Amino acid sequence: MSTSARRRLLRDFKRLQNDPPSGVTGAPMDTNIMVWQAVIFGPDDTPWEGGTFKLTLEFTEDYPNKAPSVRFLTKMFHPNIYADGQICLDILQNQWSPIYDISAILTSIQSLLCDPNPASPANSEASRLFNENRREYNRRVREIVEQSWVDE
Amino acid sequence: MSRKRSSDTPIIDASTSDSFDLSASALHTPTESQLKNRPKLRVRIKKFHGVAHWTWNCGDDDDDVCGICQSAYEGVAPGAKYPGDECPVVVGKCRHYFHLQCITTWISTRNSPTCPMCRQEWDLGVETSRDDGNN
Ligand SMILES: [Zn+2]
Ligand SMILES: [Zn+2]
Repeated sequence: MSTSARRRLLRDFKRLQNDPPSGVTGAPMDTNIMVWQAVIFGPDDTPWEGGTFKLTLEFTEDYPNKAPSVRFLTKMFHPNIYADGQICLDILQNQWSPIYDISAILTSIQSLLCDPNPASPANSEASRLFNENRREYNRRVREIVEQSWVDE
Repeated sequence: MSRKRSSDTPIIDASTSDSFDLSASALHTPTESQLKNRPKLRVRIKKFHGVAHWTWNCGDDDDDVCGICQSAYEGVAPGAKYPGDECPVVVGKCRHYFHLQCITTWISTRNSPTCPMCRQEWDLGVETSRDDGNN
């Protein structure tokens, strides 16, 4: 079945393969192009280095006029990521634009890892430690990184 | 010359009649009668294939695709069946280009229309003209 959302997702997939952004990867499920699995690698020279964080992206027929719903499957510790993996990121909410594609979404989430937005805390403990005790915050992030290797 | 049409006739059928007079006199200024009787190159065009190229006049946008559907401006936007006049490209006051169908769908989801590229208020500029390649 070809819809404009599916057609656009195929183009996103081609683009992701031909021009892969560094540190992120993703592919649709074999059975359903509307659901994608993705991995974001923790950026080097940051506490996130070495982590492999899995996400799932669910698109609706309104894509690209509506943002997909994106959720981390890997347990995270980050000021803007809820306990259930949902991400508080403006471009996935009110700052969404239909010119974004999957590469742009994944790259934005990757940069959010090291650059939290203190204005929209989703995890109050991570938020507090990030502001008040960066050493402890980094230690907790390293824990998450190590757990990400075990998560299957 | 035959006027019979068949699909594999050559596109241009040229034939010459008479023979050239290559004697020295023929190389001098021709007389009236020589002009009348000079060999003629006759060309009869039996058929031709017209190939036209067109692009939308989209300024010097560095990308050739509509940012929303990621299809070429000359391609077919979702909701349109054929490229060209049925699938026009429009420009906003901010000079950003999109397929008419694509920007219309986007705006219909918004309370206040904004350009997907620059987030400025979207205000339709003039519909772009088609550049038929003779500039
Ligand atoms: Zn378009
Ligand atoms: Zn604009």
